Amino acid sequence: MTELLKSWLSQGPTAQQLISFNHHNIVTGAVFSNQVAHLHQQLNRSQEKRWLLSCDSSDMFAVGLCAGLLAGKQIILPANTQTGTLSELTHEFEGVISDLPLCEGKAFLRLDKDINLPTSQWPQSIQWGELVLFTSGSSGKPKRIAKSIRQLDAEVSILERTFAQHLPHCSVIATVSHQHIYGLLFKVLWPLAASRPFLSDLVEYPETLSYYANLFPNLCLVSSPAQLSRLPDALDNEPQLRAPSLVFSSGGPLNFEAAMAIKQCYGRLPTEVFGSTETGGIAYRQQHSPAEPWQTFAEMEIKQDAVDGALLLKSPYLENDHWLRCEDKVDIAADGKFSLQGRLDRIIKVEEKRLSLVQMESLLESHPYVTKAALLLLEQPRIQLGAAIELSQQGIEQLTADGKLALNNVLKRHLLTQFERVTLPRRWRYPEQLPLDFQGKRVHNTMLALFDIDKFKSK
Amino acid sequence: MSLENEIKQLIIDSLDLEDVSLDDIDAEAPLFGEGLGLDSIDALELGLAIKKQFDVKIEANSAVTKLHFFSVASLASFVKSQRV
Repeated sequence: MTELLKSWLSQGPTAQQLISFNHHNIVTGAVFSNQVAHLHQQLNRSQEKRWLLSCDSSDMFAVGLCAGLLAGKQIILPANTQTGTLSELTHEFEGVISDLPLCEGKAFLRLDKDINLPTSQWPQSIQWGELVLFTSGSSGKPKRIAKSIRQLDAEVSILERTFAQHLPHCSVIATVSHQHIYGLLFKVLWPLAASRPFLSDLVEYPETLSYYANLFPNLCLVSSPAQLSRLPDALDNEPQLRAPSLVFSSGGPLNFEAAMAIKQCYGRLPTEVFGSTETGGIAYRQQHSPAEPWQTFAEMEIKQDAVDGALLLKSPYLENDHWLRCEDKVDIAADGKFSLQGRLDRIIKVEEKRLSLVQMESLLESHPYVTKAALLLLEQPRIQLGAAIELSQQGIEQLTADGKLALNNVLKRHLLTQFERVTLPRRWRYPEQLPLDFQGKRVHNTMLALFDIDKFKSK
Repeated sequence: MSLENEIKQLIIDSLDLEDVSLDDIDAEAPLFGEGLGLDSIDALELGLAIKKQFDVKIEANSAVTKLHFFSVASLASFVKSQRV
């Protein structure tokens, strides 16, 4: 099972391959080929080399992706489409492939489901294009990560080799977006290459999930801790008559209780995948016991930085065969399995969305109401950010005039230009001065005390 | 307490919204995005809380669900319609 994705991309789907479905429509290989050929033709005629790709519907997204790669273009996948994010990336692309006109002043090719197209052959490629993803870097600037077809192919081929025996003829549905590496691989590229149909919509509610679980005897669910940790309650923690054959969880840590609760409902433990945009998947596990260690995928090599315990990785999914340093501290056992000991930088995840605290703080400090901003990750009652803000004179006047809630909302709107709503701070404090010790370092405990929630509530 | 206020209180409590009181929530304003500014995780948690407190059935069709969860007012009429 080698070069699964490369050979599929070279030949295209058979006319009968079921590409995708939703509750009122299916896309066959024949239709898909026509759509790809049509867009490929338009891209071939264009001078523009670098194209931003964004579309909610996974089947249309896949059309844009395949056409762009076959036409030798660079396909840019932004982490989100907030206006600030797009304007920050504006020098990275000349054209937009989307169902919506996202940016003025750029070439635009519209993804359109409803057009009637002539029957066409799958386009032949002279030179493959590549994918470019952006993720938050520790400096606070977005970090650019290019993925060649070779890298993506290595990952898809190893996923199939590792998990295919658990996946008979199944359909794939996802609660995560295909715009990020995890959804891109698990929901779009791997299913396409292995001839498994995927749901073109994103599953947002547990009720929708149960609807499809009841419809299909064999279902692969691509999900994340945000959904999986809340799902068992929505299913009344009862064993379900119909359950997905395989559940993937990635994007952040799934706690042991949530893994057990999913087992109670679905009869099997989720398969968790650990990785990042830079590295792709590194390791996987099922949490039979708390602190179950991670097993690396075949063909990975890992070791530990002797100084600070950071994970060092060699992987066929990477651009070259040098050791790559990850900012995750690990503990590697004699059998090669490892456990995670926390991050070594100020990159954090809120509901699986990765963000740089440095970037968010500096955006806050760019607002005229703010003199200094400090962010803190709070773990109770759910993982969320707390923002402690030292206000400027103007900010203090605003607070006095309109009150705290209004000020919170002004600052949230400011953050929304670059950050997704889910990641915004939920707790705001406006102390006269941020607590600093004499080295100028913020004192963690004093900071935490600002957010002492129980104390706050009991008053 | 009126049904709308009951829903507002449930939103504040179940989502643990700081600094927000009943009067801060406009019953006609959107709950998600602009308006109250709830996010996709709040949507999941609010769905569960509404289901538990009012014993209503939420549909698998997300377009319909989104209409029901548009505002406090639309939630109130959804809850009422299920009480018949």
